[in-house]
This record gives sequence, structure tokens and C-alpha cells, in this order.
Amino acid sequence: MNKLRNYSLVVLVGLIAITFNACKKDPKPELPEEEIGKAELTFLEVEREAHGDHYHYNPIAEAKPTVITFDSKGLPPVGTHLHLIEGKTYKLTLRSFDFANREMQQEFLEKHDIHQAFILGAPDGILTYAYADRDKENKKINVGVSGYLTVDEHTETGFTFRYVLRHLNPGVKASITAANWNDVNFAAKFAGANDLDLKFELHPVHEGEHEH
Amino acid sequence: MIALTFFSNVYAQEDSVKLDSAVKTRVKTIKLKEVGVVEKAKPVGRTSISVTLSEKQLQQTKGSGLAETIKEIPGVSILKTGSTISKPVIEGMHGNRILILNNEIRLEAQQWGLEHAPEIDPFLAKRIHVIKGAESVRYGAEAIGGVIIVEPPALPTSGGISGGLNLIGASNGRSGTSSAMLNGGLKSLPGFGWRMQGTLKRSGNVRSAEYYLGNTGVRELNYSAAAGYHTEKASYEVYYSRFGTELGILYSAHVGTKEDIDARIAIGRPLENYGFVYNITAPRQKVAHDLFKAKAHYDFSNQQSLAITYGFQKNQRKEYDFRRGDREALPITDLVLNTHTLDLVFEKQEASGSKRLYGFNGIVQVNNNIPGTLANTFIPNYDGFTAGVFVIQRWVKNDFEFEGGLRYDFKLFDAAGYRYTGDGEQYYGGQNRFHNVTGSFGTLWKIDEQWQLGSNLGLAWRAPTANELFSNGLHHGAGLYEIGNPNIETEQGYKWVNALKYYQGKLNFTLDVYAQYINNYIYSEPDKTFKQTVSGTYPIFRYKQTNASFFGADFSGTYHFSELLSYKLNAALIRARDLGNRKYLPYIPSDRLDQRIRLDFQLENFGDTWLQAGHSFVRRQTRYEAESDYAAPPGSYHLFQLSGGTAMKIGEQELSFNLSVDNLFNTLYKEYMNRYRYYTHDMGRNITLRLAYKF
Repeated sequence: MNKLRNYSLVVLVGLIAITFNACKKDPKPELPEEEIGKAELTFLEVEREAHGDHYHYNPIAEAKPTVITFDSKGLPPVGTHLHLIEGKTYKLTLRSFDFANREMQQEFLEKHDIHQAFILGAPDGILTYAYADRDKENKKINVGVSGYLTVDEHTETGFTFRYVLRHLNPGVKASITAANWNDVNFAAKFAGANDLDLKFELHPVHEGEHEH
Repeated sequence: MIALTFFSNVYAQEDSVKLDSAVKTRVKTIKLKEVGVVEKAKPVGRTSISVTLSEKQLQQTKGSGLAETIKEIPGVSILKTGSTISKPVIEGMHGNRILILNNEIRLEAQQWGLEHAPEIDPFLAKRIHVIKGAESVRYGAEAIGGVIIVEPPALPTSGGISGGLNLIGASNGRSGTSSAMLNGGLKSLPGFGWRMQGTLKRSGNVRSAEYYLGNTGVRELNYSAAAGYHTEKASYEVYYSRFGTELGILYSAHVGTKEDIDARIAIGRPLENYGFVYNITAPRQKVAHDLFKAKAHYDFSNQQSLAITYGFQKNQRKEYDFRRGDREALPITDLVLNTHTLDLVFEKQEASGSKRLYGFNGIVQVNNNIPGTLANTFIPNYDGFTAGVFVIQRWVKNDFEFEGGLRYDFKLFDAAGYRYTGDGEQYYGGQNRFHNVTGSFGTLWKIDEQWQLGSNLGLAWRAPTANELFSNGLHHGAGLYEIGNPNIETEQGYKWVNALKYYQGKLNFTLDVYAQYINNYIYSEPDKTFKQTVSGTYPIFRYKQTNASFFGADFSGTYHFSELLSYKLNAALIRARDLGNRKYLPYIPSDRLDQRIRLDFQLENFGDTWLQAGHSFVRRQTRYEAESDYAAPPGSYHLFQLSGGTAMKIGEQELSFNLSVDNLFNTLYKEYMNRYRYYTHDMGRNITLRLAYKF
């Protein structure tokens, strides 16, 4: 048995040697692709044409887009104040960029079963929004990467317009309809997290009203 | 005789007294049918304030995780993250403030995480001991609040095969568990023995009293193998075990910003209806823990012995979250922690029963983030080196026993990581060195045949963990942004725990009273600023240090009205304060009380048969700080339980049944110590059937 005792000691000494051999930590930088870098909201005037129970939206050739940019903190340039005109309709489109500045809003459309945008901040009766997204088979879906925003009324002063793109928990999207586009209780009713939360000051005005 | 039995096991709970009495001497061979077993010494010192769960007691909770298994010990509670993750809490301490020994090896995993459950299969255990003292001297750093010792059965030493099979089914979560163990030896090689063991578990969505909790399934596969060889003068043992689990994280608890959290709390339950499924999707965790152990024990002449134990552990943790695009298949956290431990203990016994221990513990740890997560790392890569030496002296007098110990530890912690910020990559990390001297003193006074008093004073310490030093990022799914502090110092806890025991035959009880002061208590709290990101604003939590005090008492008593009928009462209360800021500390268990009435009898053709009715009452936690919690603690609640069991002998084999109904009246309730109490209620009624077959 002495032999076994000697062997076991040799093995243990070996193990101790391994134990106290220095080990290597070698961190590699990880690019957090998850983070959304920047985002843009574009407002482009269109013509809204009533067609029975729904509308058609026609492009206006001479219309000029207004682009609001947001940095990685979700903030627009200081002093951003947008005027939209009562009675007019705008095509509102989202472009978002990943950490490497690649456009990525297509991801939201591809995973339309878990994404939906909410348009918040306006007092009642001021804005109307209609989702205008299409999936790969050109079927209508409600995501909010593109949509039409109609200014029904002007307001005395501006308000904080908020575009929240929600990453919904499994099964939640089934309970949301197009009519929920401005649901202020979205956080409570539609469980999930926000992919984007963009805010800027919007002021719906009368035609011909001047900048202030 | 009763008194004798009691005195040999003063610190075991009364139910386990009879079983432990077989182990009066340090090593004793007992014959178990054909299989010889060298019974190990009880791994708990006699002056330790501890409670033991016997094999019989463990049988009644089989199928639960480690924390759920030991929560019936007064003073032990659990910190839950939903229904799938439970961490044990000893007298208000958890995570890196308690130490878990799995087959003598300290469990080294990512235990800093509140949502990281201990990687141990309770089916491995023959007995589980919970030490309530701060016994850092003997067991090393982190034993501030106590130690949990998971003790597997001893290996056989002669020929023959024995084993057991457990089958468990539970209604809530429709869970099924099977576990088998096989022991054997070789007739041609006396002294040699082996054991194989495995557990398979599957459960689906758990139900509260009124609704299913979405994505709360669990899958678990654990196995182990051991072999040993005993001679007159030496013993050798090798052991390998794997714990593998995949568990779902409640969908409804996934929150983004503070706005989400407030909105969900206002409702307090999920609005979505998830039915029953076994399937697990993101958010989920996949954890594998491998443990290898080799031990040699030599007995020299002059009552001296040396034990050398080497352990290697590999902990792999992958956490998957809701992610953009197709990245849900990629872990957002992917960590591998390798730990080597080496323990040397030299023991010198004296004829008087006194003894002296000299010991060395070494730990080498390497933590690596596995690249490819496409997400910022939450903790850095690091190397940790710890070395400790200790000496413990035990004196035995007629009515007294004393034990005193002294220890010195050194830890080197070397961290390095990259973090991606808006401005590009940022390197962080650095070297930290920690020194610490700890000491302990324990005494046991056998006052008379009925009364015993034990007292244990211990100083324990721990070094700050990687997340406390270096975390800096969004805690995905929890809606908070955590920032570590690289200047945090070691935490030192002074714990004084006393146990008064009374045993008179009909009435027996234990009262543990403790006081603890923690210097440099590490905690995190919101600093009232917010992190602004493109997805919204998140509250910032920062790690800080303060001094804290804990006072409390645990009571456990049984009264036998007759041989047939008995009543048991367990109660625990804790009072904890942040002394630096004159505030309450978060996640301190509220006052609780368990009582049960039990009938023990013999049925014809059956063995021991019992019926039991239980009631638990948990008070609302009123000691909290409104501004450091999202919501006020939930109300108090009552739960009722019914259980019963019997056993029958088939020749040399034994078949036992046990049926329990937990939350008998399907009460809708919330527990303060469940971190998902904001979003959901706790588990509803659960009926469990356990079958055990031994041969």
C-alpha cells in the first residue's frame, strides 16, 4: 500500500502545480450590436384622399422632407421645434442605425409580431395616426416604421411629441390594434421594453403662422 | 439513554438525533445489509451553532432545489427571482455572504447574482448541515452569515450492490423528477467502493392561484460518480459531478424603463394570458457546473492525520434575453469561471479529546467572458488568487468544550475588461489586494441533563465581488443601470450566535439568538440620477459601503402529547439596520412562524406512517425604505399544508410513499423576498407525490 501512497502523493503534487500555475485572462473587446446608435424621424407632406371608410395617401411632387435626428441618448439637437400645419397629412418614417451606423429599421418589420410604435404626447383630438407598414408578402402590418400623421387641430403652444417603439413580450402584440396608436397606458397594457423612445417639441399650427 | 443520545448530537435538530447517534466516534464501520460503509465524522464542529437535516427529513422535500429544501430550518429563508430561481438566506445573509460546501468543496460560481441559484443537486445529499455562525476560520472567506454543508453518503467499503430510486410528480408546473443512485464495492478488493447517481427533472409553466406564470419551465440533468479506497491508515477518494439546468425567466418580469416598472407594479399581475407549456424561451438561463474532487487522507501514528483535498470547478453560465433581430439565440452573458481549490488540514488529536488543526486553503480562479455575445460584458475577465492559513484548537473539559481559531488570508484580484461606450472602446480593470485576519471562539456548556448552552463568536470577511467593483451597464430585463466602485474595501462581519437547548423527552426546543455587526457592508441603491439612452431612461444604482447591524432569534420546539401525537413550532425574526445612514436594509425576511401537528403510527403490513397538517404565517415587512424600493412590501399571508407518508418492506427492499399538498387553499399571495413580487403572485396549490425505492 506504500506504493499507492507514494503515487497518490505524486498525483497531488502534480495537481498542486497545476493549481498554482498562472492562468490567463485575456479580455476581448465586444461590440455591443444590441445598442441602437442613432435614429431619424422624417416628416413628408402627402395628400390624403377619402375612399369610403379609409384613406388613400398620394405623394406631392414638390413636398420637402423635414428630418429630425436623435443621438444615442435619444435626444434631438438643442432647440428642435417642429411646426406641422393643421389639416395636412405627413408621411412619418423611421430610420434607425445600429452601433456601426448601419440602417436597421428593417429588423422591426421582419419581427413585426413583437414590435409596435406608439405616438404620444399630443392632447386629445390634435393628431391622427395610421400605420402604413407592409410585410414581405406586402400584407398590411402595424409596426410604425412608416405611417401617416394627420394634423386635425392646431395647439396654442408646442408639446413634447414622443415616438416609442416597443419591443413586446411574447403574445402581447395579439392584444394591440391600430386604434391603440396613442394609448397612454401602453407601458401597463402592452408589456415589454422600449427599443426607441424619441422625444422632441412639436407645435401644430395654422397655415401661414410664423416661426416663434 | 435519551439524554446520552441528545448530548452526542447537541447541535442536530431533534428529528435527526437518532440517526446521528450512529456516529459517536470519529470513524466507525457500520454494516448496512451486505454493504460496509465507513461512516465519516460529522463535518460540523461541536461548538458550531448548526442544524442538521437528516436523510428522513430530506426525503419529505425531495424534488425541490437546495434553497427550498433547507428553508424549513428556522432562520433559513429564501430569496426568489420568480418561481424558477431560489437562493438560500441564512439569518438575513445570502449570495457571497454565505458559503456552500458541496462534498467538502466550496461552491464557486457566479453567486454574486441575485438571480443565480446555487448549482447543487439536493438528491446528492444524505444530510445537509446549516451552520449559523461566522466560521470563516475553518471554512474560509464569505462565511459571514453562515455555511451550508451538503454531505453525500459515505462510499461502500465491501462487495455488494445497493441503491435507490426516487420518482416525484408535482401538479403545479406538471413536473416530473426521477433520481437514481447505485453504490457498490468489490469482494475481491475490500476497502474499494463506488457510487453513481443521476437526476432528471422537467417542469413547465407554474400557476399562481389564478393564472399561469409565462415562461417558468425548468429542465435539469445532473449526474455524479465517485470511487474510493480505504485502508487501515489511509483513504483516497475521487469524485465528479455535473449540474446542468435550463430555466425560463418570467415573461412579465421583463421590463425596460422606470415607466414600465411603475406601470406594471400598479397592476401587480400580468395582463397577458399564458397557458401551460413545458417549452422555455428567452429570457432564460442555461447553467452547467462541473466539479472534480480528489482527496487523500492519511492517519499517522500519535493520533495525527493529514487530509489533502483538491477541487476543480468549471461554471458555465449563459443568459439569454429578449434581443433584437435573430440575436435571441445568442447569449447576452456568457461566462466561464474555472476554480481550483486546494485544502490541506493537519490534525493532532489528544487523549483528552482535545485537538489541534492546522490548515491551508488555496484558491485560483479565472473568469472569462466568452466572446461573441455582441453585448457589453457586465463583469470583467479576472484572475483571483487566494491563500489562507489557519489554526484551530479545541479543548474538552467535563461539562465544557471550547474551540478557538485564528486565520490569515490574502487575496489578489486582477481584472481586465472592455466596455463599448458612445466614444468607442474603453479599457477598465486593475489589481486589488486584500489582506484579512479573522478569528473565532466557540463554547459548549452542558448545564445538566436537560439544558445545554452553546455560544459562538466569529469574525468573517469577504472581498468585494467583480460586479461590486466593476459592473457598469444596463441590467437587462431588470430595468436598472448598475455602476460598481473599484475602491470598495473588504467587508468584515462579527457574528455572535448563542443556542440554548432543552430536551426533556416530551418537550424539546432550541433557541438561537444572534447579533451581528458588519463593517463596510456592501450594497447598491439608486442614486436618484438616470441614465439616458435611445430606448429611454433607467435609474442608476451605485455600489456603496456602510456599517450594518443584524439582531435576531430563531426558535424551534416540539411537544409530544403522546407517542402518537406531536406539535412543532418554528419561528424566526430579524431586525437589521444600516447604521451609517440610519435606515433599514432591503431584502430582510419578515417575521415568520410555522406550526404543525403530526400523527406518527404503525399500520399493519406497513412501516412508519405519518400524517401532518401545517400552517405558516408570514408577516408583512414593515421595516423598509420607501425611496429605495419600487413598491411597498406585500401584505402578510397564511398558508396551509397537508402531508402524509408510509413505507412498506418487500423483503430486504423498502418502498415508501409520501404525498403533500402545499398552499392547500390555493391562496393568492405575494412574498416580500420574491424579487418578482412587483409583477406576479407566488405559486398556487401544489400536490406532490413522492415514491422512493431502496434496495
